[in-house]
Amino acid sequence: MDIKEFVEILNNKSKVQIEVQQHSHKRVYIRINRENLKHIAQIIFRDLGAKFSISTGIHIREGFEVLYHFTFDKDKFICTLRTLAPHDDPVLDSLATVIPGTLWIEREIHDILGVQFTGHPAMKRLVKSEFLEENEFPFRKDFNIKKFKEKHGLLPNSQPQKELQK
Amino acid sequence: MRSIIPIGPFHPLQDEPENFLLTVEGETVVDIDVNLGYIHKGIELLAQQKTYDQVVFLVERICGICSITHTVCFCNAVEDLLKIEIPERAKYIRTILGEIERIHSHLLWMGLAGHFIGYNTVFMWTWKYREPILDMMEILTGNRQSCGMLKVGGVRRDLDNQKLSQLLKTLDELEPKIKMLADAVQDDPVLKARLENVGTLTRKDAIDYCVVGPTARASGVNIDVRRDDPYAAYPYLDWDVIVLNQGDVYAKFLVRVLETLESIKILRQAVQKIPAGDFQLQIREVPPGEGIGRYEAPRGEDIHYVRSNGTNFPERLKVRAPSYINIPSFYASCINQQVADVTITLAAVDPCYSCTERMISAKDIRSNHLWSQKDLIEISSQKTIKIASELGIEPDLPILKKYLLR
Amino acid sequence: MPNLSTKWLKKSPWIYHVGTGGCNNCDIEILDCLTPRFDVERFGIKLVVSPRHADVLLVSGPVSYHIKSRLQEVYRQVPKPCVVACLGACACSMGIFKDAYSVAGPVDKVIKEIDPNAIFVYVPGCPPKPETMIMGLVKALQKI
Repeated sequence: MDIKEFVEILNNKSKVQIEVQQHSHKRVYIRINRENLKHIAQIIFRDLGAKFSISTGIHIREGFEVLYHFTFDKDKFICTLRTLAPHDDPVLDSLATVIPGTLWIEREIHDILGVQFTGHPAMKRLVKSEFLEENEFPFRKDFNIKKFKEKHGLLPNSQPQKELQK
Repeated sequence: MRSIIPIGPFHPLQDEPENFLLTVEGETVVDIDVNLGYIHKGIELLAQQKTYDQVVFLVERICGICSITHTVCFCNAVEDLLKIEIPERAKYIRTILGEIERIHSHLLWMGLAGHFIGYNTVFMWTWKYREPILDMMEILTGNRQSCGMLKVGGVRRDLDNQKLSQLLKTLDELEPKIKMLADAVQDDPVLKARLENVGTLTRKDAIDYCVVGPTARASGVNIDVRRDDPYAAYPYLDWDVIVLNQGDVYAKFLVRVLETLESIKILRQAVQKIPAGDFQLQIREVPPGEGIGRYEAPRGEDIHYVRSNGTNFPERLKVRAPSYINIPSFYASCINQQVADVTITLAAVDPCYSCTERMISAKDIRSNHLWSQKDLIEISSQKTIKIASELGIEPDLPILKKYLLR
Repeated sequence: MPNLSTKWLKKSPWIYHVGTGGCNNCDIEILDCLTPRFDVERFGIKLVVSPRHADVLLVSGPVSYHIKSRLQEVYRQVPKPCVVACLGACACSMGIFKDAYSVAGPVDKVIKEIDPNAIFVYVPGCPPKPETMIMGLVKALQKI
């Protein structure tokens, strides 16, 4: 199965609209609507036998883009699903019931970007520091590291340098 | 009656300080929960403030043991974005460095595994075998770990051919020792009784939890990035992927021992075949786009995702280290195990030594007794001794010693 | 200040290792010190499993927010006088992680918050070699 065949099979099985962008003979990116995410992930993981690698959350102008990278080890290519959760309603379906491998990464994206995953069995903090408040998300573009450090009194001051000279 | 044993927060049997909460009924573990984030430094966010050349040094410091893993993986990702092929010599140099790293990482794990089940002899001996490999790394690159050798488009410095022939000599000395270790592991009845059918991860669970590397290969999942998504010089070399079907800790041990022998095979060929010529490309600019890099780390598949917006700084860097996806498999492999077996089961997935030193405190709620790392290892070694005496072997003189004294 | 406690401390320092968010490199090299090539136990330097037994606190890595209070708690448990050895560039000065949002500060700053008179030894390097670490410990003992 190469990428062309894969896209055909996916088209036939899912019967929803997808937008394919082929980067090279080893990488393909597919844009889908967020309503179809669970349906398509199920086809790729269960029927086509892909391995879930990781997902990436990015804050872009239109909202929060979440990428799901699936690797096809026998066929030697990577398929990436691209979904968008808009600013005013950052909600996506959780894949944890289909793919247990997504348990942690969904918690992490929830921590760093504030995207909600409906249907996740245990949504709690994974990597977020205790210092961050509920509504502070470090990977959002409006997060200011300097202000954050100032708030906690962590910007370097002259005091430690003087002591070093001693 | 149920009680909860917290392991951590400071220590882990993994790379990072994590906190495990084991719910136990008598001696059987019925539930496990993992908390982490203790050493979350925000490397991915920090990478957005650094240029591509600087990020190479930053990702080198994600993990000290996998320093070459992450740098090559990041370079693979940017090279995928740029759609370029690096010079042949650079490919071979990356292969050589990567395999040296794999040998030292696997040896390190074997020693620690020995320590956890109470075979401190194995710990000391494997770490002794590891030293010449680190010396070789220092001779070739200038540092024992974190060598700063890689850059996008090739490698930063060339390797000296004379020094490479010295590497062959070191390998000749190392190979019989690893073979002896492999024989010892396969012959030793105590090790078998202690590790077989412990912490079994079935093939179905391995696929569901998407585990990678030796953890997956010990459960019969035939994946290896070096073969499945070839990078560096692996397509030009002849080697095998080790796959076993049992899925228990013993199989994971064996996979790692046999893989070390494969690495020696790869290194020999690479040193003989390395061509002369250029070793780096000049990269002028990085156009907007995205790229995915993969690398087979000692612990499994490493994957980096890079998105560029045409500036000097990456817009987003996502790093997925192999342990990240391997650790949740504890939910499947630790349940219904005995507490004495948990140490080695946790360690079997991704061994790092942080474990040996970092504080571990386990609290039994009923008696309010605080268990330390030492106690847990003590329980583990007691079980080994018990098994040994049941098999009619003098517990103080493990059979392994026979091999080591040869 | 030559008194009884420092006299014993100098003979055979027991060390306790705290990893506060480093990359593991320094941790590996500490273990290397204990294995046959370097074998610091022949000098009486011993790794202990509880901070309450320790004379020297080895700290590696920049201190992340999450682990800051734990490090301070560990320092309180160590019997005084004690020496804090900052291993590696990250522990000395935060190194490459200086600008990261979730790093609270270098080790000396965090510990001085609770004990301004703490004694520090700095072992730079990324990672410091085992020889350097042994030398750092020797310096630490001379400081007392």
